[in-house]
Amino acid sequence: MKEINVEEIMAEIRQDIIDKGYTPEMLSFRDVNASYIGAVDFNPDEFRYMVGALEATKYVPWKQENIGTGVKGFIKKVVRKLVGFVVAPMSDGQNLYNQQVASAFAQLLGYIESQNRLIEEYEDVLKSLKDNQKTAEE
Amino acid sequence: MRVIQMLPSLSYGDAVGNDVMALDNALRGAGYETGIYAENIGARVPQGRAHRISKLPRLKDDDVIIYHLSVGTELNFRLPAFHGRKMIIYHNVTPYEFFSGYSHNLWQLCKYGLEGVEFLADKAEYCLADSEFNKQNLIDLGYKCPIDVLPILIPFDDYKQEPNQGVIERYSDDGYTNLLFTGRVAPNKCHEDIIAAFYQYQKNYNEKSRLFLVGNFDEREIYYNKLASFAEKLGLKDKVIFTGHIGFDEILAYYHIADAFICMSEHEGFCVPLVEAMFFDIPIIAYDSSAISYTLGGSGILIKEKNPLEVAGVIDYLQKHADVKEALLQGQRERLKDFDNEVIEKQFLKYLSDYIEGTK
Repeated sequence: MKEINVEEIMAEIRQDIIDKGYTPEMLSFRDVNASYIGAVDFNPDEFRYMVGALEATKYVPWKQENIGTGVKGFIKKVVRKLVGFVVAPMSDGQNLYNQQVASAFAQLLGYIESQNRLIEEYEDVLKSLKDNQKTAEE
Repeated sequence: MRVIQMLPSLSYGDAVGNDVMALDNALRGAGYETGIYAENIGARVPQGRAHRISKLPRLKDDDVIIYHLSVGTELNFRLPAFHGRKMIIYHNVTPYEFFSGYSHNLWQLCKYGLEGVEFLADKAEYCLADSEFNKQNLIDLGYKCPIDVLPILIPFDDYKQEPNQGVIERYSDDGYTNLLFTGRVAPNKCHEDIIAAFYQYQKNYNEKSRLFLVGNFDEREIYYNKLASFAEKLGLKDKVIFTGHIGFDEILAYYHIADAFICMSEHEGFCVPLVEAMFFDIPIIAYDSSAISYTLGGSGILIKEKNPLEVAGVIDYLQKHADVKEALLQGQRERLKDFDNEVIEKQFLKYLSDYIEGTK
């Protein structure tokens, strides 16, 4: 049986990639958004978690820190300076919108929880009424 | 003395369910008084094969409970309250971090599972782990009891059934190279890395190829939707086929038509599909993570670094070097022998009797 030397094969493949000039550039999975999120069954725990996550991530700074050094970093800084006067106000507008969405969802969560408490109270009242009715009938 | 198996849910056909049924046969064959007890019993489990835990007779202190630990459930925390000695078969719990940003439900479930595993650390007298990785996982979580490694039992006879002819006729003998991965669409399995490697393979090596991602998913899941978007944006919408839930004969058919099996998973407690690929004589290319290297046992091609272009290069290399491919398959056939049910059952019964006799 022929022995397989994986390291040798990999070295051969790497060399072939260089020789043929294949490049690894491609779209990153991280940069893709889910195309469709359908209606899901309501889950109060998940909703509470998502409202918390929304609150924690609502502010997105337009100025990224650590954008690199050297020539690449320098070019990025120059581009940032050139487009800053356009991007910064747009980013502020987006952040204001994010803030409003987060507040609206926090309000909604509060409303759902207050309604749940009310339902529990009504259930208790209903139960005691039923118990009283049963006792009266007996 | 009775030896009973206990687990939260028994499903027909899944890896843990198959293991439970096969161990039940082995226990009966060895003359033990035994039974399977679960909180939930799947509709396809043959009638009378398993009973609800509420029907469990009162156990004596020398009876043995073999508990299958793999998910987050309240039963993990109730286990110590049962009479009898406790032995755990650990199938692993997926780290909850994988589900962050994708599914809070699964995130919670896995976290709860991990808490259950930690809770049982000082309650188990003896453990069997599906792989060395699982054994180390238990040790890391504070288990001090003796732990042995025993591979999961796989129902090879089922794989000899007739595959779906419709799938075979549609996708074979048309000059296309068929790449395959099987497993539920879940973030720990990193389907995106398989798609990325397939993209590079399409772009640089072979346009006449397809990728089958065989496994359940829910169309509402964020992860699945992101994957579908990724494939579409890469121009692979018609070449990447998510089968979703399909019949067993169809799964077999995809194994029959596959030219290579690609696994980029970052967390597996054992990874049964690797053994299935060995059984169907498909060359395996897998990323070296968690239990993968244990299950491959030196066979297949183990990738140390996730580089889509290099993975694509390996797929191409195997298609063009028949001698290397044959040597690889020979190695996989050798490894497959280690999962022979008779060998594992015998080992299981030896471990069990040593445990009962107190030599463990």
